[in-house]
Amino acid sequence: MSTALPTHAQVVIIGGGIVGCSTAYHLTKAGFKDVLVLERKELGSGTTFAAAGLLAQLRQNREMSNLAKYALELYSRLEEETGVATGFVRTGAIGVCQTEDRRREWLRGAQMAKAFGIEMHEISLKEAEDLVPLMNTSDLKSAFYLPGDGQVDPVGATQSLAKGAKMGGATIVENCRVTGIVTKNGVVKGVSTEMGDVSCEYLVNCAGMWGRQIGKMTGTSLPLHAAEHLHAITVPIEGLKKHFPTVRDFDGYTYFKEESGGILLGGFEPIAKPYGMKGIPANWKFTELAEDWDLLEIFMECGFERFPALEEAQIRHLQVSAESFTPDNAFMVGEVPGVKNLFVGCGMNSVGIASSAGVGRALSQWIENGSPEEQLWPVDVRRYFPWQQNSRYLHDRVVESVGILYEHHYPNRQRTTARPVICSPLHDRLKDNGACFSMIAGWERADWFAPAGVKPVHEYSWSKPNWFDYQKEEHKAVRNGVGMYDLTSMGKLIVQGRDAEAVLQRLCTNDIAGPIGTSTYTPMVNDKGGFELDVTVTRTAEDSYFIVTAAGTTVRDCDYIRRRIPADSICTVTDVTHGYAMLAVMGPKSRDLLSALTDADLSNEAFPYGTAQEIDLAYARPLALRMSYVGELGWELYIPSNFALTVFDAIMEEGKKHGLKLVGMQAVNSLRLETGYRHWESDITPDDTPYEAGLGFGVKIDKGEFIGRNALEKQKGAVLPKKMVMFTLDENKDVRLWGNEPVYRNGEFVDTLTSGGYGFEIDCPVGMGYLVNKEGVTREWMEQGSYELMVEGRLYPAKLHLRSPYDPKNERTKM
Amino acid sequence: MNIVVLMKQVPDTESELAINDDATGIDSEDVKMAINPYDEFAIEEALLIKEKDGGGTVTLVSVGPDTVPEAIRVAYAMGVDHAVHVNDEIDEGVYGGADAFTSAKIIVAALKDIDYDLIIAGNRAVDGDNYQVPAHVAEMLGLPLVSAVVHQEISGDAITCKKLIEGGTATVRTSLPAIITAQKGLNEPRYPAFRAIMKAKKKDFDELELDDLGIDEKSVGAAGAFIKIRKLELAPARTGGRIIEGASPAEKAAALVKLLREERQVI
Amino acid sequence: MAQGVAVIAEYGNDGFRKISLEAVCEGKRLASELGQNLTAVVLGAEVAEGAAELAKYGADRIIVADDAQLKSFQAEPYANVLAAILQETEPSMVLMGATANGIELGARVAAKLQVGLANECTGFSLENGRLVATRPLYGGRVIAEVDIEGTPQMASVRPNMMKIEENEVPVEISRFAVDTGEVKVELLEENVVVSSKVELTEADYVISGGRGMNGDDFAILEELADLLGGAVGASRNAVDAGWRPHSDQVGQTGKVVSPKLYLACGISGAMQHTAGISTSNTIVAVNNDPDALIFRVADYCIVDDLFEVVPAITKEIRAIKG
Repeated sequence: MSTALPTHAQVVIIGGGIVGCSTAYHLTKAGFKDVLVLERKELGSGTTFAAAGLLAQLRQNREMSNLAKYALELYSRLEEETGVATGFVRTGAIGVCQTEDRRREWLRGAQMAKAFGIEMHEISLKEAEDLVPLMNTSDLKSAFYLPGDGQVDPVGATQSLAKGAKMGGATIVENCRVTGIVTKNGVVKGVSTEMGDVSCEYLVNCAGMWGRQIGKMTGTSLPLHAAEHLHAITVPIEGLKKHFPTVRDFDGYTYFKEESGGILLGGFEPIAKPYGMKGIPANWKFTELAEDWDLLEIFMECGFERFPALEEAQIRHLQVSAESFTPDNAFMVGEVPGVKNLFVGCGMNSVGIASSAGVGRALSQWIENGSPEEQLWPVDVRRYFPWQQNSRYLHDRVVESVGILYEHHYPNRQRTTARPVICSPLHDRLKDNGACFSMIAGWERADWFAPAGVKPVHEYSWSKPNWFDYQKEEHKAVRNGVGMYDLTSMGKLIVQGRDAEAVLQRLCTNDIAGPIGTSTYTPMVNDKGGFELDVTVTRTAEDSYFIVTAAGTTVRDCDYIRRRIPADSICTVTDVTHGYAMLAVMGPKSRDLLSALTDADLSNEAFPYGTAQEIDLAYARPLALRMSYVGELGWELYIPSNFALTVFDAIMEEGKKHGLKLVGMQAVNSLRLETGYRHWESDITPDDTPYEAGLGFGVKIDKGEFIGRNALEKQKGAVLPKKMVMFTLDENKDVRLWGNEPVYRNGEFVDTLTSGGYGFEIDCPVGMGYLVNKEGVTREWMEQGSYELMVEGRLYPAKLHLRSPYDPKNERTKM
Repeated sequence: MNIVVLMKQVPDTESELAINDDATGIDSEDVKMAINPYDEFAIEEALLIKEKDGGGTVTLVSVGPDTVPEAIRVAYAMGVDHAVHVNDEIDEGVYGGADAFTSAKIIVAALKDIDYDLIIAGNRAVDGDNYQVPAHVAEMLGLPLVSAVVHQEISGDAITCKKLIEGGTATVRTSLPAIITAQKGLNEPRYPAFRAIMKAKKKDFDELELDDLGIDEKSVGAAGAFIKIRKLELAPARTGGRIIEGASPAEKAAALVKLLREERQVI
Repeated sequence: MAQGVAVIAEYGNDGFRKISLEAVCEGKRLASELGQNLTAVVLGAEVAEGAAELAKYGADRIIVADDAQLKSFQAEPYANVLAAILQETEPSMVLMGATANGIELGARVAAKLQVGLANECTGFSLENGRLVATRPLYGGRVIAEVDIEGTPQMASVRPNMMKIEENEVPVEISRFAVDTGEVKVELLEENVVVSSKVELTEADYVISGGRGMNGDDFAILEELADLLGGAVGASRNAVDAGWRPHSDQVGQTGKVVSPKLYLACGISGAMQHTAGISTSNTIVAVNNDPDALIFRVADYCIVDDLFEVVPAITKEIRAIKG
């Protein structure tokens, strides 16, 4: 029965795949009665139908794992609720390790899983064989079992969600293609379709492979690109156990499951085949592409090793289809920057079925409350930059994106394709000095510097990567001498106008109304008091502020501020990131060095910590900010880009007399960690308040009204349920902390580290994380505990530090 | 016993089709192709005969465009020994518009230097659905033809076949060389094993063009066909239908039957 | 000069097949438009008497090739005789029903005469005295309009497309001397099954039951199927539940059917099932659940209790059939 198209709906969802139907379902559960799903052909006919239907709980971080966990819970009960079968089976899953490195990765994964509430443990090879008869384990180092993983029938699950949504009052119209989006004054108003126009209050783009096209209708950057993806199903194989635990052989790029008595195998190859460069065909509907046996080869080779029965097995069906991948292999959810009430849930990187439940729920929370219940920055659409819409970039990167899921997930692993994109003006200088580059948000950054004769190439390791010792030299140079690093990638925003002070005072927790030249560290928090932004605000004029933020959050931060400028204010925010280079000169000898290059008085009296001045340097006049992210005396020099080269050369020349060392990002990170500086995204998130994070000094509760004041007022001085602390492994210097290691207090699991690394000055591993206690985290409670950190399955005694282990009183920066 | 199998590569029966710009053919870019299902029966039967016989070769002959080698690869993986591909995609005008007669002409030319005792073809091709290539080939070669075969047995140089006729089956016999066509029910085609498919990648086949067979372009393709396409359009899609209203099941039943008789003429 | 329309009519066990009458009537329509004669051709053994019936449908002339050698349908002798008839009568176009026999016969004759043959046509028109045909391609996904080269133009007609209309005219009946010619394929045995159970994939009517049948009692479906001369099918759910044998299963992993009428009773309509019925002429679904997926593909939908509706349908049809 065909349904007539309504002329209005409160929420319109574009796309009737599993994500769109899940969103509709959850919206109705949240009480939204007027929900309309527009599907261009038939439910699930885009990418959903071709999925293998696997529900894996453990993902690369807590946020995505929580979304995935919920899928198991939802799909296990959905059929009973809607009467439509989802094909849910709790098969469990087994991850096998061909190498010791992979085992180490999975040991860490298993402890992360436990921290996330996902059952996962190492099993013997014999146990693995018992669970999966016919599997060969003779070449394996280890195996891990997740009994809670499962599978669904993708189309069945979609139909079940659709039924649930309809039961809740939603309308679904198929064979209705959206042809345009109507906005007015930056607010969504409705859509135009082949069947007529529909006005709406909220619009959600769940259009899968067509997501980018839909995004273009409002000039929004939704960087996804399709790639071919296949799986093969064999005829029945004797001896195969029905619904055996899904086997994941990351080293072999392949996964295996039982299907109608045979084996279904597919995977994620390191070099993928992009699809749809000319667009997705308009008549795509449950479409399968030409069989490509060559593409299957890499998976079959693994198959022959893992399941010898595959040698003779006949292949009943080779299904080649296409699905969307993003440049960083994480999907995109949330409210689209620049347009009000426009949301997206796309770019699922082949984990759409597993993530569908969580994404749909998050979107309904986003629409209902303005944010998801649990912050989702790793998958937030605001992490993408407008330049990432570039087709060539997307095409070249997708070749690598597909394989990310199964690659060796070494810490600091870099992308190799579609680089370089953005280079600071000093790029070649750094290169000539032996820089080995890492990439973030498209920016090439010197990660560490290789001495003469050493190749500036990353060699990853779980223990000691090849750059460890060079990082140490750079780290110590900053602590004891002077070092310079290029952080041109930092985001820079200018907020200006008659009302700039008033606007910012309302957004910042700190008092930014000081005199011109004041540089203030300040959070900007949400209604719950959680960190939305973590920035440095410098007043450069009566009506102008220069804000510095992280490279990866520039789009988000600019959007955040822009949306909160009242319509009648005279105030604008402008992204000037590419207008300024930034060189940081840090270390006890930094004053000596810089004094030789400028006439400005750099003494504490004339240039105190937390202030900024425009100074002469070489022939330029950079804005010098006396702030430090590495916990030492020093200045961040913000130099208009085209002057940067000559400034750099001048500093380098003078630096010869002072033993100046070029410093890379690895050292910057170990420096800031050792001195206890928090990093937004890992250590502080929208779910953490400044008081919980030990950053209460960034809050001036009595300065007047600001967003989040009520929530913070309740917290000030009170005993909090969580508090950030630091740990060192004094007795186990060879144990590596990378972040995410579980923290144990008196033998019980508490939470995981948010950051981890090596403190080269204090010479031991160091990490930070939250201690959590329902009854409140008091000093007494903290000191009464004995602590351990779990690393690769083993517990190590850890020393608790309430303040940073290095320079706990923060005296070094004020030298 | 040397067997020739005639194979045609057709658009996969599940794929969505689009009509090309001048409505004389389908838009073949991006369409998933497959071995004509009835030709799979033919291939399988040839392999079964060879296996029973313990010897002889199975040669595949296929007229078609650049994508045919993919199908040959699968046929090799099933066990076919040798293949001949006549690529008539020299220019679109020649390939598009071929019909049974022109295809048969090309096939017969390709068969000139091949030794065979038996030719097996599919009873129909699921793209053209016109059922005539085997009849034309039989006529041109003067061979006996048995169509719609669901079972066969060879004894000496006689072949006995059970075939489908309207309302039932008939058993017939003829002597080799002959041509038979495979009907659904003849066998269950084997699926290829992966190793075999990878090995098949390196296996050679004859790649011929119309010139190699001495065929004049003007005598084949749309120019030489007996059935010439004027215009194509997609069949109207089923969009979901009418709810039959009524105060009672009996009333609804009556309304339905009336519609089935008058609107659809199926009763 | 070739002229007139010839129609090959198949005489089954007890009279002309319905499709042959459809072809004759269509032939009459074309002949009338051309202002020419309609000649019906009947091959077989002891068919002369029955052949006269074709006059009722407008045959101006009936040619009967009646011979013991033509008792059972065989492609070669039939093709030889028919080719001879056509060479003598020289019609400009030849129609026949697209039955298994008709398709086989047509192909042979077309190859012999080196003329064009369009199979399973759904409609015809005339242009300058030449036939233009409409026929399905790609399993029915595409409709083509085609020209047919050669004389006579040959075409076979798809069942249930043409109207049967009575049109009694004076008729000339003649007997054709049968020479079956060289026959290389020897008929050993014929097995024409007059069975009460119609094969699912060939049935014109399929009455199918799913989970909504609530058990293995499919009597009400069987009754309707028998009445229509069709077959009973089942969805995967019904087969998995053990209510019906696997040979009755309709769907992607069962059988693909293409009947005139597919009646889905208590079937939810998952994609795997609808893939097996998509080329049916007419799909009717009866289900208590207004949201059942089957309603998306059905031409007619009845939201009601199948246990009441199906017997009511049977009753209605029985009343019509008299």
